[in-house]
Amino acid sequence: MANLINSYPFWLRLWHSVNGILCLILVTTGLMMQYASPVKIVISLPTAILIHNSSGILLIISWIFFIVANGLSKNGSYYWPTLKIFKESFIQLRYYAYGMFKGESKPFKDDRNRKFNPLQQLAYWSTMYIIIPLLVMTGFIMYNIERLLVDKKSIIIYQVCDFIHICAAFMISVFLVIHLYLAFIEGISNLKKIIFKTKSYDGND
Amino acid sequence: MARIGLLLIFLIVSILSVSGQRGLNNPPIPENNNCLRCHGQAVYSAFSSDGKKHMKQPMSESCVIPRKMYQNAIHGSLKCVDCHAEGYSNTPHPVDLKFKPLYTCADCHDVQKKFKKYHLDSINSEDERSVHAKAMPNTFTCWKCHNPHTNVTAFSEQADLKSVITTSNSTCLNCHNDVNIYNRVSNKIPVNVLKSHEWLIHTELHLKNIRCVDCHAKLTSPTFTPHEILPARKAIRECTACHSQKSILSNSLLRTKKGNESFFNFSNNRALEYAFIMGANRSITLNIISIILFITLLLVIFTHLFFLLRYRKLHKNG
Repeated sequence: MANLINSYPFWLRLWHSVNGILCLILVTTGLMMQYASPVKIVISLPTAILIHNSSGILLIISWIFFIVANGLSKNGSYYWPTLKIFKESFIQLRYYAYGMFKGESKPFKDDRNRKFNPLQQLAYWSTMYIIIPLLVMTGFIMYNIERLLVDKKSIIIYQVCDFIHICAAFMISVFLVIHLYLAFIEGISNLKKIIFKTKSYDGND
Repeated sequence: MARIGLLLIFLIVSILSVSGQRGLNNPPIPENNNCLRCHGQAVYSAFSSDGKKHMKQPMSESCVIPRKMYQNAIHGSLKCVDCHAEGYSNTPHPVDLKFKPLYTCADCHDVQKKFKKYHLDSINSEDERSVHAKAMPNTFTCWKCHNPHTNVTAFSEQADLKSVITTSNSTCLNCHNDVNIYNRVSNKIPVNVLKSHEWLIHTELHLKNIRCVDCHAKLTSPTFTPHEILPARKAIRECTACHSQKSILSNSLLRTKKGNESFFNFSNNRALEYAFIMGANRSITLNIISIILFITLLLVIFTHLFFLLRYRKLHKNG
């Protein structure tokens, strides 16, 4: 009898799709704002700002939902790294850079307690627990500029927030590119799993 | 409710902007005391020809020159009779002196070499093309905007920008935010400034942190403050005109003699003294670093993909 475990429940797949779409929208409109120019690219600057601000608020809701749902389910435990994470990440990185071209098998297999390889674990954890909170906090401060900017000191605060926001957004962009690339080389079946199906750990997908 | 709140804030800002103008604090001129005894306040004493009777009279509003405002004004170091006809030396002066021509601004400003750097010839031709001059042909003078008794300069490429903005905008708002003054020169009803700018995101921030002339005047002037005021329909409405690296403000409000030195090399950094302008203030260093890193990432990915596809092809062919 196959031992099926619902590691990608419906709520997680729905959240993942929503979060991914929001991140893509935010990165695109954010770039339009950062590199604003008199040459109109598809949409105007005020429209880009409106979409960026609305998507930012939705991202905050989506993030809170993710944290709460993870707290109420076992899913959250898959993200938290252990002290061995950097050593294990190096092994996984070696596999991507060298091992996979030599026909080596994957160094870390999925099981009951492991849903992600160490690199995924490190990337997902730092994205969801460090980068996204930094982005939404700095974004929220800048969104409320009218109420918060009162003196010269707040200009420096705003400038620092902008700096952190841009750096964090850059990291999210890098994450998105690598995430999509690795999903792409894993094959179309991997994409189908995260969108449509739950995943079993005994190989009987 | 929110609109009333915004209106109140804007009115307070307008009042503060007028009262908070930078002043020169010139020392009082003793020769002006006789004049200011009457003109320095809203009420004066009128005497009969034999000097035996006198009565309190309200001074015409346009003739009241508050002492403190005069001392702070750009002309506050001048004697009244430097500009007014000599007949005013004896006080109280005869009423018919009002009909004698006064010196005009150009009498000093066009002649003296020290004013050349202010490009007054350019200001004059810009004024002639402005919507104000067209609406008030032959009667539009410098005085309409710049009261010589109370005017403080908004001109300086090194001054505190916030102060420059409030001083400059109070010149416009004196008329455009006061129906009584506006109707001295126009029969139209002035538009509600706050309402007509509601299309701007963060309306209040824009009105407080940018000069009216930066959007409402032709920015081809060699001067710090452009004077060719355009009709409202021709004002800049394109956000990216300011919110971009090549912001039009870099040639007007943000023109500076300082080098571009700031935290992580932010463009148009002079604005950072008082505001952060999205799109215009961007870290050039950060932009360059991020572009280089992103191109490197794409190169790594394409190289990886190339070798992976090659490996899979070889593996497939056995």
